[in-house]
Amino acid sequence: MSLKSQLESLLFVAIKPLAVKELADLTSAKAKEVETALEELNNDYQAGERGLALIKNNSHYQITTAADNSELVQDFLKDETSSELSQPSLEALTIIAYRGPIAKLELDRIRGVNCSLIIRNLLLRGLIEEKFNKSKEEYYYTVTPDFIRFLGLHSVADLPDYAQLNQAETIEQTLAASLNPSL
Amino acid sequence: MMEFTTEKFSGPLGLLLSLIESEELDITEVNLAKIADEYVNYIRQAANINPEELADFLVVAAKLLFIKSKALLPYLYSGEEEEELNDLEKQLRMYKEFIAASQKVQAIINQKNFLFLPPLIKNRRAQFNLPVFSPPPKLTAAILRDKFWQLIADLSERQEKKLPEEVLEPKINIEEKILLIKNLLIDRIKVNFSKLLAAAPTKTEVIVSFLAILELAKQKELIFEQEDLFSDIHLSRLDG
Repeated sequence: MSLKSQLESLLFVAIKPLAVKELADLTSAKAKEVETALEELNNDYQAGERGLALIKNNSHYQITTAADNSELVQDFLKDETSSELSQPSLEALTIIAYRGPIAKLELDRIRGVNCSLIIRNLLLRGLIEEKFNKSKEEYYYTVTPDFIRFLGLHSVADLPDYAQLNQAETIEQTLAASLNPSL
Repeated sequence: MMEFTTEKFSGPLGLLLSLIESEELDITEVNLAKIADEYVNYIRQAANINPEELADFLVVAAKLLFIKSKALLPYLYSGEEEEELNDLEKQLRMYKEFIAASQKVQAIINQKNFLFLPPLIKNRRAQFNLPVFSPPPKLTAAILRDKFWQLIADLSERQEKKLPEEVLEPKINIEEKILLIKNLLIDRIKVNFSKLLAAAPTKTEVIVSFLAILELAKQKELIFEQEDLFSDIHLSRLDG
């Protein structure tokens, strides 16, 4: 069988997100090959009439149901819609999604306010996860696959204007460009 | 003063952004200087600021006042502060970008394109190294009951230790003191400063009284006179 089909089978039974490295070990393929095959699989899902979708987060992949069938599946699973996010939580979550992995200090700086409580809340809701960076001695935050599923995206890179907002320098350049005409 | 509706703003930058946008201003240093007083007035009155966040609001207020003072007295600044001033401007612009992005994220969430996973069934949890409820085999209801009583006993024992109590000194507000002195001066033309101090029970209150008098003199509400060194200071009302 092709690598693509092997990966699809593995992700289908795994349910939980699998790392590229894990998948490469399981299929005795190179990480690069795994990534290429998975991008192909994702293209199949997005182009064809399929009921599944592939999500990617921090080089972990997971198979889910397709966004178009969301309502139908939700009805079947009797899944409760999650409660609304408060404005500050939404802001923090957006910044983490676009700028993750991001340190708490940087998040505080962008929002101009201490975000400890919001971070705790988002962690509890499973929308973000923290990882300790040993060399910087600081916790870094990224969104979880659950966040990606919540938005119905393939990965954070699908967020609107992701490339522009992801890089600090780019933001300043873009801003500078949009300001210059008024000078 | 402009009426500013306390619509939803989240945090100090959110407030600053709402103020700037409600005046239809661009984010520039000049406009930040203009808005400084309004911002300070707003946080002075606002009752809905979370006390834990107040310090962050004050940091922004301090930056704004700094920008304003530089706009008013440019010759006092060497240019070294330039970077710090630009910072607030940059920070605010970046924040604005993310506010716009967060609205887009909200719109995506509203589409409810949730992606689902097969629900986990109990014995599959172990397969994925997820926590599984696995009580020790010899556990009985009686043991749980005894443990629970033990726990309650421990708790009530601990609760008896009272926390040390401390009495806080009454707070003296400089504004109250100013009002008091003003009222004194309505009845009398001259007031002896030492009498005012005699009524002050603590050192802090002496200092506050002194500050209040200096403030009133600055506001041209009163003048003070002292004939000789260390002699009594007399306060008198200054009628404008």
